[in-house]
Amino acid sequence: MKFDESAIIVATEAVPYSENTDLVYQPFSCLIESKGLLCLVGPHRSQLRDYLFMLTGIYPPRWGQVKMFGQDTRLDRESWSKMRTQIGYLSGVAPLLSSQHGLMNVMLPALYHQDKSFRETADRARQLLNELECHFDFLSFPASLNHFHRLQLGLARALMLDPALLIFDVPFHDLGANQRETMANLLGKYRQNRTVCMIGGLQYPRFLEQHATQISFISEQKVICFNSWSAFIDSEDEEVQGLISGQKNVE
Amino acid sequence: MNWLGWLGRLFIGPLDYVIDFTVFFLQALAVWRPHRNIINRAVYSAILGQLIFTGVDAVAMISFLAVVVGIGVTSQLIYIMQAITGAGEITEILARLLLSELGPLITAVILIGRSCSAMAVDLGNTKVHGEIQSLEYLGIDVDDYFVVPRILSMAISQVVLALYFSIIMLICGVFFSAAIYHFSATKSLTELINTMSFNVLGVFFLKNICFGLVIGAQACFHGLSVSISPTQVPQEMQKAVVRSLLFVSLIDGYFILLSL
Repeated sequence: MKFDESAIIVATEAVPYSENTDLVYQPFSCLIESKGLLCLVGPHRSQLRDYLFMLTGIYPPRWGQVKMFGQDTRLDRESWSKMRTQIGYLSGVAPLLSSQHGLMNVMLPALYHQDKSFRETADRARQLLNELECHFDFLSFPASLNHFHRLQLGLARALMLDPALLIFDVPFHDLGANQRETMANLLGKYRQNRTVCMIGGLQYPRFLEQHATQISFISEQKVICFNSWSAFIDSEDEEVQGLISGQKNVE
Repeated sequence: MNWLGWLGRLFIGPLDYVIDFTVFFLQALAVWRPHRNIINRAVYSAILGQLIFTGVDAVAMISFLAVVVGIGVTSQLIYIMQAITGAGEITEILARLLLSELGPLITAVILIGRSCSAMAVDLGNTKVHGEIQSLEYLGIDVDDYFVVPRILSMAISQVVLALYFSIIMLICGVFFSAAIYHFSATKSLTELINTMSFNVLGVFFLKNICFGLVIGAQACFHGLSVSISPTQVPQEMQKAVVRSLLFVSLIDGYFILLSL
């Protein structure tokens, strides 16, 4: 199964599965065009993550329909696994595999999905890590690296299969101001030719200002879609303003 | 009727467990369908890593125990058998008791204590920290990358180590006894080799493969049963060890019944 270059996500009145029964989930509709960047923002992180995972096909919707690359996301095990080769996942909270060193962590998706030699894969991983300005021993285990280095490895792992779609799950989590800026530059560099779906963008608003093509505000009561950062901050909706001012206070 | 409910739970609980475990085991092995690329380099490297951990790293401990058990048990057995029946029966007894029973069982117990517990803890910790989930999101199948390599390497290690253990145990035991009781060790070993029929070897390999598969599957089943709390890791490890011992005993009993 090979997907075409015009990677898009289409969600129609979709509601995600959730183990969290305390929150109310509103139906969500959107269309993410190729090379677009959608950031989900809202007061409940777990809720946003449920929507993110639904939109990116990790879990099928409870109701409604989500299509990725023109295909419904309700797939059998094998097709689902093949579809994931076109989707890179970077998380600021999910750790790397602790039993493997950094280089192996980066190589793993390629070794699993591609039929390339070990040496060829290692060379590609090293090249990617150098491009990402990783100045540490690639054979170090994740436990001995700092959070920023682990994030760099996570980004390299997400990019290893040259995916058409990238998922950023709180990519600026637990980073200092300088590290956020560096990470934003790296993410910006590698998102140019890719579609991106993310949460946690408000932790570094400048990134959204520069790259976001869509911002969707999701709360228990409403879903509001904005087509730019300026439309989002100019919103007169109380909840949106509350979120923005709350974020400023945090900053 | 509380006692009736209690009685029901007493039977349904273990039955549920056996069904869950069997489904887990079959589902894990089902990832290796005919059209799957067998030379998947990630899985291959996982199998190699597990073989080194489960098999190669255990050789020193197995060797030491084989020598100790060989000298202790084999020589005692030879002494008792010589006193009771004479030398003629010794080889058959050695073949039946040591090669078919003691070798595989002691190897299984060592692997349960050493590798099964470690595998369950390793998988449990990996899962509880969310390391598995992010790999799943990249399309890496848990059964394919984590479960099958562990089960396979455990089965291969059990067969090879049990064979190695039995050979070292017998050689040490027979030579030690020969030096003390003054009989020909080479003659006894030759007789022993001659008693090895295709059937005996077949049962030996089959039994060890079953032991290995069950121990590996138990480690993975309980390791992956950990859900969100780190406190579940030692609990599941304990279950993996105890239930592996139970299943190994049951399988051994089944093979004993077959050979009677």
